[in-house]
Amino acid sequence: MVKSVSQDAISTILANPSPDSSSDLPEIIVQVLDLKLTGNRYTFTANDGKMKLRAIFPSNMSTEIITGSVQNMGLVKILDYTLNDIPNKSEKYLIVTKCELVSSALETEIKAEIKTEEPGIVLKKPKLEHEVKNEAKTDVNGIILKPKQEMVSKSAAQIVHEQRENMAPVARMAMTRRVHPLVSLNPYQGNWTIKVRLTSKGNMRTYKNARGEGCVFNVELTDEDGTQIQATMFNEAARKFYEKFQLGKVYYISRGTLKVANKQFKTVKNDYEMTLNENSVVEEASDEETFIPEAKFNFVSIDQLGPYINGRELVDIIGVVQSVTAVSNIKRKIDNENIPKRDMIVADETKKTVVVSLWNELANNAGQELFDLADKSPVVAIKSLKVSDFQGVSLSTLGKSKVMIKPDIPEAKKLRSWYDSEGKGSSMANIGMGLSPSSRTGARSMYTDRVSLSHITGNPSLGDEKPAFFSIKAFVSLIRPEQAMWYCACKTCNKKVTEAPGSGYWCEGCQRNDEECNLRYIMVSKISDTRGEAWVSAFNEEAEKIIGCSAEELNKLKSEQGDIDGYQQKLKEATWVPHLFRVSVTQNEYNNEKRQRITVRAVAPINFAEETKFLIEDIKKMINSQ
Amino acid sequence: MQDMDISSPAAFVNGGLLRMHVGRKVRTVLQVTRSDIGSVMGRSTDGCQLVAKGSPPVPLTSYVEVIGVAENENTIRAELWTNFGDTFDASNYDKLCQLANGELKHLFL
Repeated sequence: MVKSVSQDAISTILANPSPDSSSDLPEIIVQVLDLKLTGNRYTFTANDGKMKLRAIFPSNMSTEIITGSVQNMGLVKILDYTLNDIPNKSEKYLIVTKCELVSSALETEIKAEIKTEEPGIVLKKPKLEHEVKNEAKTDVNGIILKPKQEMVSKSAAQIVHEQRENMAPVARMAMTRRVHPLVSLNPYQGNWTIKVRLTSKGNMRTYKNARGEGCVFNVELTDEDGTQIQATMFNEAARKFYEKFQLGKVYYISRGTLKVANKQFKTVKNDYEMTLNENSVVEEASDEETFIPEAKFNFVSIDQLGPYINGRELVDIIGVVQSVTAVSNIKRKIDNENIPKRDMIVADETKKTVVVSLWNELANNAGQELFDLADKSPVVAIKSLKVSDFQGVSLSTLGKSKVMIKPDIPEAKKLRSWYDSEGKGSSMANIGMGLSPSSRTGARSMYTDRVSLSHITGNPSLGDEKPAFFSIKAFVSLIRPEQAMWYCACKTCNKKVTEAPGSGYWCEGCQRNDEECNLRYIMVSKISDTRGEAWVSAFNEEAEKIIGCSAEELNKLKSEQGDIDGYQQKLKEATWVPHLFRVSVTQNEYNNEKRQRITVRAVAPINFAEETKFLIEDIKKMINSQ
Repeated sequence: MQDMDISSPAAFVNGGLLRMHVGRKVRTVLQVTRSDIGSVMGRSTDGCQLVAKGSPPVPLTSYVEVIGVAENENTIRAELWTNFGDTFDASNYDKLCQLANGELKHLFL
């Protein structure tokens, strides 16, 4: 007969703290846990499956423990004992005075089982797809031992489901959920359930790092308020949920963890990002037809698109349709697939127009509708557009872009009335004119894509794919005198030459020696503006404008002896001078870390009249936007 | 030079805004059209002919800023004169006057 613990053994002991040998007590068999030597006696925790009690063996048991007769996880029958209070605590302490061995170590800690347990995933159907192989039920005689079982998570719906198996699915789901808005989630409160639509699904990627290999994928979730959050799954969880997550479906999700979002990889506007692990719960919602997340727009006016060119951040725009082309088919180079595309020109109150390319389904569905409505100049709002530098600036839709024609929102009404009253007749220019990245040193290009330094330094993902260009008005705040400010350059090709003593300078590119070389600047300096500061690199032509002389001349000053340090003086004079800079921002990888690199492409002096005009326009914009 | 109370700010004005500050301290930039003993005639940034009474600096550049008390809607009793050189963007200054008397008045006075 398989021996087990006596039911309610601990309760019996607690109820009878000082039994005498004549008292009629039921058999007390307990499991020994946490067996350890304390001083010269062995202490343990007595377990009856329901309760636990601190206990100590008599010293005459020590031998049996040492020899291994009495083992941790084994069973002992307590024949005589005393229950003591622990001073200053509400706990009791069991002093075993006589006991005998019942069984050696069991496989597992005995725990009382209440009902059947299922794994975390439950689909729409009322019948459970997965059944646990071994079930434990309460038994009158005691508790049946089970092989070790994993703890599985159970959501409120599952428990209710088991209790009311005959209820209709929709009603069942609806009444057990307390759904939290995505905007209320934070890393410090883990008890939430969200109801979200899967608005984007990434591919499963495999990776290898110092800790080993793994797989990962992420998704974008949107709730009813339009709030979005990115969720990532690794390894086990990735495999578990990859097939389950279907684009466009609605899910109840709980038991995810939140952390502050990594700015470099952020694609949605949320301070946090979510991770789901194997214990997270994902259940498909059956009433998804009624769940339409409200599209939350963050409109950028057309003349403000510059800073977003080639960046990761997607933009939303609203404008009046000026023209729509017919559908064309573009062959994708990667796989030779034909993709439908339609171009549309949209204008807004800034009197600028921009080309929006609609791809795939949007070209066919929304695109057709827009084509038919084009001569009525309808208002269109588009969410999640990518900004590229094609022809200056152009916008492209992605899979997750949303097009709303004649939306019923206040911005649309404002746009409509503007267009009908004055916009219709006014001449509008394409924002792409004058925004091409080819560096023009003219003052005119210094006013396009004008940003403050904090916009660049605050956005580490800028220039991720292609370099991003901006105009800056800033002061040179620091030129370190001890840096290697120039290099020896080949007179023909400007590449760095190596000095060969006796034979002049050798150029690897031109494959020849030259007696002389040119000194060309390769300078790093710090620039500052009202919002921030940044380190920038400048090459010869631009550095000459900053310093005010050529590298040769500066080198002469450096090697001059005398009272006045001409070199330091020159650098000092160049500091705290304001300039208009045209810069490019790219990403460099350095020790596995991505670093932002800002390069000066052009330097222009400040034209105060133009600058004032620009500032006045800026002020007017600020006043109007209030 | 007379002692002028410079504790209160002078309002930025052009020709059209001068009448709103008669009796009060004003400042404006004029493009000199005629210079006499004791007064200067100049064009305001919005194209009005104004008179600045007082002793202008010698020599006088094409543009001059005057700060003084407005006598009437086209005369300023100038106490402070500053040469502003020969190039000046009148339209920017004019817009400044409009903003300083309009939406952003609270920042100036």
